[in-house]
Amino acid sequence: MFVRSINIQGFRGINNCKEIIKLSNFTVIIGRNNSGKSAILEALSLLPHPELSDIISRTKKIRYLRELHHDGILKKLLYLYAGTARLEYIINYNNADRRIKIEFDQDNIECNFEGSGNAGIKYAQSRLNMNQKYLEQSVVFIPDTTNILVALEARMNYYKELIMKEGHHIYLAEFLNKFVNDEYSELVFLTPISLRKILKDNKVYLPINDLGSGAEKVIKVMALLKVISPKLVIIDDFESGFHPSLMNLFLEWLKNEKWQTIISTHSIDVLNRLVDINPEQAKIIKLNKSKDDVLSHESLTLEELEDILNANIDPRKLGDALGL
Amino acid sequence: MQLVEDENYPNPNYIVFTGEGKTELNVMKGLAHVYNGRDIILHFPLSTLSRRTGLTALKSIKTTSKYYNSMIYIVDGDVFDNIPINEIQDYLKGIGIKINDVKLIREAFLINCEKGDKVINLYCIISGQTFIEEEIACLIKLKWGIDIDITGIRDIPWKKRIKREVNQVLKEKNIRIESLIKETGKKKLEIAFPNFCAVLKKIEEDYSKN
Repeated sequence: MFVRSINIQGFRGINNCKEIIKLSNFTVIIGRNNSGKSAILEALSLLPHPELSDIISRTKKIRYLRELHHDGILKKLLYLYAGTARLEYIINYNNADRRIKIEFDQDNIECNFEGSGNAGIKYAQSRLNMNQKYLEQSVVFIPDTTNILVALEARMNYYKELIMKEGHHIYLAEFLNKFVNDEYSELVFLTPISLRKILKDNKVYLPINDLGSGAEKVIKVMALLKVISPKLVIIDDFESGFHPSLMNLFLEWLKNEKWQTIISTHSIDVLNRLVDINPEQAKIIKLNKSKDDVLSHESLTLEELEDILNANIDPRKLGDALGL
Repeated sequence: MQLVEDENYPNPNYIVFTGEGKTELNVMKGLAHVYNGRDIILHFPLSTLSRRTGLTALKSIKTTSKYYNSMIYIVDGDVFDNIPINEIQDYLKGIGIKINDVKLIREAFLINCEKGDKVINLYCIISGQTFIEEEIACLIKLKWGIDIDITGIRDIPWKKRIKREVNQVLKEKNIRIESLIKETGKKKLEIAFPNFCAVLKKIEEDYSKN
């Protein structure tokens, strides 16, 4: 597990957290709209250093975040657009826990590793014993927007030799065949990237961006993750654009990979499937934000989730009534 | 009392859960409206994914007792091989719930039990000899004099037939079960849904006393 916990103060719609949020190796965050799910994921996306490049967009993580939903203005990431955002994480690397603090106001950004002053990327490299490339590859954030598809295609092209060398171009076509009615034999690095479709007496090349956006996103994300093998994968609104069969397959695929996965969802299907596939060290975190924007949360184990689903209780509705 | 499915009601008094499905929700909604329709809040957060789980649904108490200390559990009659009250008590003990007291309310019962330091009042409603559609068939007879034949071997085809015939009548009358219950008097409802009504009546009475 890469990131063990997070605490948030003054960031986006969150004034502060009632308790530190402890994460697990496979964490699923649920909660009403505007309960803080995306804010938590965005805060995590700044790891391990906000001034590193985001692996997909190739812009600085903090800049990517503010451009993503916030008109490019840093102060829009601040709670009520003023003050200082304080994000505190415990990450585990090389079997040691390390505390990282990120603080920023509308003018300045600081990142402290435990015991350090404002630490630059070089300091992060030495503390985490990773070169800049691995630092950048350590955390992948997939926001809920189709705007990333173009950037993902660029990354696929960047890594095309590795993708081909490791056989992912065939693996991904075979994965795609499991949830579409067509049959593809491989990904081909034309412009744009295409899939070779097998017909009875012929073969044609179909641009990958002609797939539905859900299928396109999954194939591109999987290609990236396969080659960079990150430490942490963060996916906002996991099921967005997915047919349940694709959702099931992607969830199961994530479960079998060795990185830490943190997703948010509104889907009861995701929760139901989670019980069936039973990822190791999985937990469900249910968020609730009070009127004064204090974030509280409840954690459920998979066993508890299964018990609740077996009573035909919708876990998304449980506890809200009590203001938890 | 009133039944809410969603979460925007502060401090609900009871959580309702079932190892069955949506019909139980619709019946409860109608009955809650008839029994006062306000004051006591029943929270029935039914999932859209229905699992038929019978007694296994009781395991949820281990988690829901963090949030609620009053619960209503609805279960079909055909879940039981032996005496329901014994089977439920055995199941609860098996999942680490200590039973303090059991009170019969017609053929339903109220179990006072403990999970850790939480004291729980668990009302158990057994619907039908086999399933809830028998009770709806009874209501249809009382309301419109239409006979749905519930004789025969109570196997899966039998259940499907009863369900189909019940739905057919409701469709012909262009009414949903919830609305039918809402426009039916308590006397008929107490005959058709004896255990549901006995429990809801008891809850209302206890509330009035306090």
